[in-house]
Amino acid sequence: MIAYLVLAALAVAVVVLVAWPLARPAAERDHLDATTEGQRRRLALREERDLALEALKELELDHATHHISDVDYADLVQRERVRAAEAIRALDEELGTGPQGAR
Amino acid sequence: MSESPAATPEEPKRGLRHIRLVVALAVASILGTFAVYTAFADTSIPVLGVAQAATGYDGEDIRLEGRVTEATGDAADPQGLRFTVRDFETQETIRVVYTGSVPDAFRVGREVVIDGRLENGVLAGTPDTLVTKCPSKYEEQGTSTDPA
Amino acid sequence: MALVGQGALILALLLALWAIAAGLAAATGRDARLMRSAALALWGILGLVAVAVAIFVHAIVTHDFSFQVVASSTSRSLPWGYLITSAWASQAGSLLLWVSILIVFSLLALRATRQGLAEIRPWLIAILGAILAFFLLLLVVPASPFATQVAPPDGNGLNPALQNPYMATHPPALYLGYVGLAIPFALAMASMLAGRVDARWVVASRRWTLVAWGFLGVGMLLGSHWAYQEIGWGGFWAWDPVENAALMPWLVATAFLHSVIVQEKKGMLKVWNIALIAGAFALSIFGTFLTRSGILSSVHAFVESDIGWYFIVALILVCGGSTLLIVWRLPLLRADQRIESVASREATFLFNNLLLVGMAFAVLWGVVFPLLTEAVGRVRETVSSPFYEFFAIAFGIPLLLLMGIGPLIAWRRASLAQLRRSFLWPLVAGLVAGAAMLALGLGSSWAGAATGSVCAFTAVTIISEFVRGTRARHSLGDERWPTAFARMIGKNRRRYGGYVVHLGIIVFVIGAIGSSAYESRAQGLLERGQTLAIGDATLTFRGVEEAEGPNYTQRAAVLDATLGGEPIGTLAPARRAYTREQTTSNEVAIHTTLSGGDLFVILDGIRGDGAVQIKAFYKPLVTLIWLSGLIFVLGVVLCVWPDARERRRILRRYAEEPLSGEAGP
Repeated sequence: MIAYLVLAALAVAVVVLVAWPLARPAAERDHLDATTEGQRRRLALREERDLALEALKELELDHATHHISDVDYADLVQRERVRAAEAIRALDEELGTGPQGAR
Repeated sequence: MSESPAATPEEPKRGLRHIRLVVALAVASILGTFAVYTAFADTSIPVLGVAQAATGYDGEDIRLEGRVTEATGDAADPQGLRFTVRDFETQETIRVVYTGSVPDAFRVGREVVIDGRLENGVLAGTPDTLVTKCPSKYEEQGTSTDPA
Repeated sequence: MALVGQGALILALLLALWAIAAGLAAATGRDARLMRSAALALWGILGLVAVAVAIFVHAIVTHDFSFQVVASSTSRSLPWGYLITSAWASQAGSLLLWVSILIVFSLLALRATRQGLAEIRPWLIAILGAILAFFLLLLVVPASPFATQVAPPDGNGLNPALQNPYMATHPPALYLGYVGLAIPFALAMASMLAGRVDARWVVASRRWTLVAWGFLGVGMLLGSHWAYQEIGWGGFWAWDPVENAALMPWLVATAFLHSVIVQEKKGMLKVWNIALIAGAFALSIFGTFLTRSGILSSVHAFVESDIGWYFIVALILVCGGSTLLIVWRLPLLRADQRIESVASREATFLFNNLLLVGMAFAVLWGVVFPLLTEAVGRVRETVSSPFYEFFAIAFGIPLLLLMGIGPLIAWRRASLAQLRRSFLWPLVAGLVAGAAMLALGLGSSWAGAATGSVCAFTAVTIISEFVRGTRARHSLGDERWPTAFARMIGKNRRRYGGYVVHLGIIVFVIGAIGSSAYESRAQGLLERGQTLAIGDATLTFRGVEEAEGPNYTQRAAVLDATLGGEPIGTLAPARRAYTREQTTSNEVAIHTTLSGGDLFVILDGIRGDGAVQIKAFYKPLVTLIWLSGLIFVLGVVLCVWPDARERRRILRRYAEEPLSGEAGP
């Protein structure tokens, strides 16, 4: 008998718990915004920019530890710089700001 | 986005075809190793119940499953452990001669698995292959941690 | 009490179902209130599972044999510590442990989505809810820890093989690993559902995967040590389905940990990574399933088992669902870049992945082979150690080689001249090691000699990585050598942590090869005073000693041991008879030598006249296997340790691009 009472109490507690947020009517701030297409694009560009910057750091380490020759280093650094610059430029276009807007 | 202007235009193309070829070769060699080995190495042995084993597997290497009905001697005996296993369903039995480690849980009534060669209806057990199967009172145990 | 426990689990199941429904409704209807309700449902599950665990443990500790599970896996004479570990010795108990870990992990994972992943949260809750619901369903219907009976006077006792301190660490470690893989899977799927295909989910799940993978690895090693010391057949790994069950997800997770680096750095292999983590999770469910049942022994066992179909349905859902999701999101998952050269680091990662997945597949093939042969109407057939060992060598040696090649090759492409310079010394080391092994007569095992040389090659590469990195830092600034070394690791923790793990693997391989390819063994029937020789060790039998333990009686063979002519003390392998459990167990005697080898002695039997059947092994270098575990853990900790720089970078990225709902509950 006590077991049933305990269970009933647990059940009530559980229902109250999950019903709590639903008790009051929905307000404006209860709307979850979906990520927009634009946000997603910009996020991808920022990620691209960060990847290129990170790659530059790693290249530096690889060069310092003689994993890549000077020639390759110069070439690869150039390419990562271009990649970062392109991402930043595209980001600026997205945001409609000029080059001065790039952080 | 894939090519940066700094690279010479034809170089990545050539490299690309090259890498595809190498990756394809790598996949092919892994699959090939697998296919050839499983097809030709003959590493599998049949797993048989006692009744099944009695039907024409003489002279072959098999893995036998059954329930121990009687046992004499043990690993300390010069003649080794001798026991009889019975089929799970029928009354057929096969005698087993075995030397090597005897698992802790071995005794009459246990279900066992053992590798060996069937000769004239007697199984000559391969040393150290005797394993007891899940006695029902322990869910957890089984062939799990014994040598397979 | 059992009723309350069962009721708590049923309520938890209902809450999990609610979490699925409310999570999905919140995700599609964009309603934050529903999402909060779903999140609270997870907290409710935590509370209810805690109640169930408390009741279950209480029943075990108070010897309440009206609980069927308690009666079947404990007894009054069972020592206190093993009472606790018996909680996960039963099927129901271990599933309860699974759910307990999963709910804690789920809530932690939910916290981890606060930066940059808030929009996937409703999906995440729904998926975690689904996984929880599955395991709670198992606990409520086919494998209830709260099934009752008329209490017998005493329980059946715990299998003596499980009466071992390792029971306190090995199964929980494996479970932490199995369950941990659910989190990256859920993060990946939720991100796909939300249309977030950037690398954020990879960053969020990387640490989870590392931790889960680390626990799986440690769990396997603890299991090996347990088998080595306790089961006592003289080996540490038997390629048993239960061991393979943990190995498969570990291999696939290893592949994942490497290929996500490529996604993070290069934006490649996105589809592959999602497939890998889904595969790793599916294998972890498969592994749980294998561990919990002897099901794979035959189709009959499977059809008759209670939980077989539940797991098959779960596996189909995981595999089918993730495939559909990948196909649906394929247009978004295009790679940003392509591999440019075979001689690039990304290419070595790719080959490493192919080999690891190939190895996992071979193991899976071996595990399901009996079922496959039966399913196609043949006599059931099985494969054993030689099958697995072939693939461990055939795929393992190239993997070891790649482990040495990878670090020396730069991203994108490496030039030939550079490669020649980088590989000179490691190659020399490999060749010298190979020649030395042949000269020492170790060519008796070609696999051993080949693996030894590859290990030397790879070890030299890795050590030279540490040297080069330190030297580079030292020459850049005015740091002293130790500072330069510490800073180098500190600034590139994942890279050098990875190298430490690689070193651990090499140490493991050397130990495994040494103790298996070069072991010596001997056996014989010894009468008092007689001597058995193994390699340059001898064992002289002195007599049988009897002793009484808390719940067993023991008979030990006392042997005087010498090594290279020097006495090294007595070894006393024993057999124990457990009174309540009515079984005997083998207690092996092990003497570890200074060179890291083990003299391993098994008492196979005691004859009526007092003569003993003794089997002995000498296993060179076996200690390295256990040592490798410590190196492995050190490496994993280095990798897992929070990286402040990366965290700042991610914070900045999402501060620039505020996403919806980021301040969520």
